[in-house]
Amino acid sequence: MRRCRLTRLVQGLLAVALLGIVAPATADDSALHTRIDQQFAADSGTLPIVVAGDAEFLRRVSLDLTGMPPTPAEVREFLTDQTPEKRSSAVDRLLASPQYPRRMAEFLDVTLMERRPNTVIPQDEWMAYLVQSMRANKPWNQLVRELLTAEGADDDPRAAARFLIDRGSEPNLITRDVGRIFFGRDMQCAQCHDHPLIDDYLQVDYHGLFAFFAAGSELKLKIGENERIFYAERAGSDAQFESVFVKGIRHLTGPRVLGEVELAEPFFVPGEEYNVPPADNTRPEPKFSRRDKLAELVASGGNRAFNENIANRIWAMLMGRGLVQPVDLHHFSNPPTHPALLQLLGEQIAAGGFDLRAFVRELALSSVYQRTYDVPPELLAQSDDIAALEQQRHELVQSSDAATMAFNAALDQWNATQAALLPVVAELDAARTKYSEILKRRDDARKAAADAEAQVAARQTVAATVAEAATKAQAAAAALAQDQELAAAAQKFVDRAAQIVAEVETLKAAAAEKTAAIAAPQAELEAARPGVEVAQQKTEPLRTADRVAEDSMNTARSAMRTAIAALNSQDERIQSAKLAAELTSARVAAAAAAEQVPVKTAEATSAASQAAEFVAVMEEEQSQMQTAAERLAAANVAVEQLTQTHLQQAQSATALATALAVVTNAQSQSPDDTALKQALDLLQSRTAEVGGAVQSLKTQLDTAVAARETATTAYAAEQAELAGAQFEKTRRDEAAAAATLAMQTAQAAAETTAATAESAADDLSARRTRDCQVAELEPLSPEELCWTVFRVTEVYDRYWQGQAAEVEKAQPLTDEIRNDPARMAARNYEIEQRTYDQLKSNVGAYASMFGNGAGQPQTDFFATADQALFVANGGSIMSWVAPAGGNITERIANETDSRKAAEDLYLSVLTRLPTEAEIADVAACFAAKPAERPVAAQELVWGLIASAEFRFNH
Amino acid sequence: MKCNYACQSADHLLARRRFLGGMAAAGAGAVVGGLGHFTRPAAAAQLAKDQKRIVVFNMHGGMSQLESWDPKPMTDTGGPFRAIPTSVPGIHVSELLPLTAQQMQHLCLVRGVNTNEDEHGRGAYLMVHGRRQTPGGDYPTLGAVAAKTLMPGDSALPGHINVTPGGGGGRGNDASYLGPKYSSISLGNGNPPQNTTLPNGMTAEVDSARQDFRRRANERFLNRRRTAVTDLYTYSYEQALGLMRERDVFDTTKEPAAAIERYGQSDLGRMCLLSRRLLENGVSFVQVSHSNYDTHNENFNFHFEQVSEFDRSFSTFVADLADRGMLDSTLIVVLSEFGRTPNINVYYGRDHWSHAWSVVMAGGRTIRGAAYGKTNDNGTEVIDGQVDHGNLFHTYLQAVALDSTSSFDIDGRELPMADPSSKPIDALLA
Repeated sequence: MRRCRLTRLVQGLLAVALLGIVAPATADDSALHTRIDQQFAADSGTLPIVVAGDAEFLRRVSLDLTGMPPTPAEVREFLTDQTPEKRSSAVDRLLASPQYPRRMAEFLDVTLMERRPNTVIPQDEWMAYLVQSMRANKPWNQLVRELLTAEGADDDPRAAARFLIDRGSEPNLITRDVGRIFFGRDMQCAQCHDHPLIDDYLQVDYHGLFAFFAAGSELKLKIGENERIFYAERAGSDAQFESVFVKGIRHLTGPRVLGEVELAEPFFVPGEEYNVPPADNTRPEPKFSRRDKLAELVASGGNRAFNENIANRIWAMLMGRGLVQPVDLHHFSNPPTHPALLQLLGEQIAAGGFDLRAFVRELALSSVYQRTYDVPPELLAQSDDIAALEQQRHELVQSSDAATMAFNAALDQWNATQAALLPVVAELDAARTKYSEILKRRDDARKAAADAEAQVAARQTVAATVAEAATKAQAAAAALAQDQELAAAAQKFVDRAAQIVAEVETLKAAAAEKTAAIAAPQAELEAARPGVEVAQQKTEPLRTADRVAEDSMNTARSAMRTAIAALNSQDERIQSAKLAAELTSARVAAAAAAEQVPVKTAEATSAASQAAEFVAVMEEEQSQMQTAAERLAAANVAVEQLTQTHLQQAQSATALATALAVVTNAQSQSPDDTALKQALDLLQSRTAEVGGAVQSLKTQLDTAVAARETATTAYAAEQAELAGAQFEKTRRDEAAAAATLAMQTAQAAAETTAATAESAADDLSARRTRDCQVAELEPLSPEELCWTVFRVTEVYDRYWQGQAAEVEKAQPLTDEIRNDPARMAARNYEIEQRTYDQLKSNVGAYASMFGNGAGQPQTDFFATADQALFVANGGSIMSWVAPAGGNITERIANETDSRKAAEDLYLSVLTRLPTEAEIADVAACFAAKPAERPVAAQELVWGLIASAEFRFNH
Repeated sequence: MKCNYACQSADHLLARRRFLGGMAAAGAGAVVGGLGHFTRPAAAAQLAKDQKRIVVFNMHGGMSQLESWDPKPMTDTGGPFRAIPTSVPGIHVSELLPLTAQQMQHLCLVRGVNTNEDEHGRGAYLMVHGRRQTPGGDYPTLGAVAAKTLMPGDSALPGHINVTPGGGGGRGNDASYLGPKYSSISLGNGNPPQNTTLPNGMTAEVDSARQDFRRRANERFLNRRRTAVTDLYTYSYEQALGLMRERDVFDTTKEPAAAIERYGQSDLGRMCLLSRRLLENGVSFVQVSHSNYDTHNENFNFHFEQVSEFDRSFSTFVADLADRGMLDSTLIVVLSEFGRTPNINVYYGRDHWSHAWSVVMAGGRTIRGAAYGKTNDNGTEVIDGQVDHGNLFHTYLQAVALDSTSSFDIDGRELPMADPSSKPIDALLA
């Protein structure tokens, strides 16, 4: 049965894949998600959006909206669901789940507090505040208003004051973080000077924001026995500042919101600024609270930076990166990737009353959100017309130059109005100082008078008591008339009473004098008051002019920012187009180079075989040469030997001839000597004999010499032939070597060009990712990682069921509750809260292991060995992965069909079906441990939890 | 003046790609890739020669300069201890440092330190950050800067380690904008980092099987798309395995008994020995803590004990580094949050005093066998060569061949490595 459903679901996936570009179901053309897609398409030129498959979508949207992936049952159901609106249904179901407010609260906690320690407000209290806010879908502007205006009173609620109080109520820190977190602008450097790198952060931006918080501080109040920390705001004053770099240009600023002109504030003469003036153990209350004003201004939806900041942050939460990234560095050298889209989002989130749930819903329904993670080939193939883009760029350069000049002129103009304003403000300050001095004298006089009156009153009390005593003593003395001592004592009372009355009179006189002394400073004060008011009135037109100039400067600044952003976008587009063109040509080159490899390989093979073939020829030639050489050598030997023999015989013949001559001569002298005659005969016969032999040898020698000549000729011929063959061999060897080299060169060229193409493809993919054409790889936050581990190991669902049972025990679910959506929601929230409370300490452990440092941006990814060790060897994960209670580990250990086991494993841990290769891998892992299936199952579950695919949202 | 330390630079990325590519290739046949090479002697020798390191001895509570580096015997403020000559003629130190005195040829005493901050927390902050703590501003510690700038990218060991007596382990929060990768890892009681042994009952064979399955799963996922973050993530597991293999580095019992004896049978002795092992194996920054010098009472008795213990371990440490040729590449710093008052209070104690105290450096580019700066006869003020935490911080960085006036580029924010309004002490740099 399950197999059948899965087959259908695979077919469904294939159908989606084949369909490729899927238009999401749209009910209303004016819905924000449609407008997002339209604007996005307008920004993207011809590049299409390719929508992700169902499994990919469900994992992504579940993580984004509930902070954890879906259960395997949810995945199966979603994959088999054939209804066209199933994606929007899933979005609505997730948004209505009790996990959504928790996920948003965790997101807001990290966004607002950046893992700062809970120095005053406990984390539970703060999280409860955020969760309740999100359950009620409290609008962002209202939340911000609460955060910025909280003082820490119980009914604020107190937890809302964490933003200020757990930053030590420190004005500089608060200013920096308010800039970053609510306006997307990090202006730390602008504290001392205009931002050196980022031209559009002016010192006045920082000081304008700072003015809202400068008069705030931490206040410790004694409440009964306890001390409690509050945020206290005093009445603000103007700040003057001078750049540490540009000396001489002084600026004055009251509070101003980013991109807006200085706030017009009500004027109070000194001493009249407070409803509740600062005093011991009292929270002061100024008549005009700058924080309230800031909260009111931003909450109205009229501040573009405020609106775009939250739009961008929510976008980043869902898309894995902001349209402006990093999300706290909006400035014009880091412009949005899609300026018009960001503007639309900022306007729309404000127009929607900062309803976060509705905004999240619209983003999740957009095609941009649903884009695929795998880079579709068409996104790497297309290139815009670079020449046309360059032409457009030329115009944009001109307009941005013009806008920059206009801004500089407006800035100069504003500096001039500031310079005119400063001396007048100085006059006002002098008048105020003088007034304050008189005020102080007047108050001192009042205090002195009051003190004197108090002394009079105290003395009068004494006088009354003593007078009463005197009367009673006199009565006693009258009753005992004889008692002299008593009479004397009574008289003493009377005397002392009179004396005290006299003293009272003296004190009264002194008090009257002191009271009279008030009149002079009071009169002076009244006389000085018009001076202050006049001085104030004198500043008004200049202030107005200043605001006009500032407004022009702001308008020019905004125009410059827009122009530069447009130029920047164009540059990026040109870069992308160039890269796409490069990629195309790199691929052509790579393909051509790749084609050359088999050709050159074949040539090398052929040349090598020709060289190999010739080896036999060479051998034959060498053997023939050998034979000829041997023959020649033999002929040489024969000639040598015959020459030798011939020489010997010739020498014998000569000796015989000599002997014959001697004997002939002797015989002629002794003719009859018989012995001589016999000798002569013998000699004659021998001579003839030897002469014949010499003759014969001569003939033989001649023959041998002739044979040697033949052999020599034959040898020379063979030599020539071998040399020829040798030449041919060398030629063939060289050809083979050259062909091999050519093959290697072709292979190297193929590798290099392929690497170039791959690198260009990587770079272009990175650009397409940045431009939101394909899904970003978004690391799970520590919270998401923890909940994801709990979800896939089914720890979360086990605890949920346990808590649900507890709730059921306390209050069984009746039809009445079931039919009341509000009560059902409350019930689910309660189960969620209980489950969360049971597991939250683990979230803390993950946050300290995987979270960035306190006060640092929390979105930067980092991976360290200690994290990997925690996952590999830490006790907790291993215990959750152990087979137990029908969890995934136990299920696959018991499932002998590897395909089913692999499907369950991948659906549970990675929210998708396995590929054939993955099924085979799972089967092989089990096959390797037939006797220890639970061990193998644990290896598999852990292996996937530790994998990159698990660690990221994609 | 931009300094490209950012990980995103194209060169860095390319080098990393090559490195990871090479590792993957090496790992294809074998079970596990890379990282073992630091254990090879030749590589280690090369490392010892080239790679720069810093070790800080942090004397918590505020060590008395008068009972250590800048004695003033026979004066109203001098206390009972004498001054003794050292291996460098003309330089004297307290008699509590007899062994260290014999290593003076390697040391550079900085006697004119005035940090103008007598509160523990703030004093400790400025000494290790090189700047005062400011609202809204937060800076990385010297250790984090060293780990970021000096640590080879492919090391299995953490780059920034605190060795503390007692306490647990774990990652600190001291890298600020440089990111947690450069935060300190604490080795409480000198124990190895947490989770470096397999879970109970798991065999090496099972670990290897699960790691292999993880690698295969990654390979399939990375085939779809490969990015810098996936590479970083998958690499962290290989780094973890490397760290487990190199766990012996943290085990001082592997040292010969004679070495343990030379360093002294104390916590500090063991921590110094451990530090030497860590530095030898390429860790860029080690901080050793020695407590507690906050001697408002009985200053002389406490310093007698504490400084004597320090003397033995520290002098052995310096001599060892010199013998092993590591002193050229390793900067040693001895610092506190401040010194102690020349005035002796009624409890025979000395109180917090930041206006004229001493810091010691050795190794790296620092001059050797020198005393820089001077306090007056009874140590109540600096009369020559006055420096503060900002100057010292610049100098530490310069001593390991870093340009302390350059900046980090963090996500487009240009952040100076050291306080841009301060500068190094050139006279101390050879």
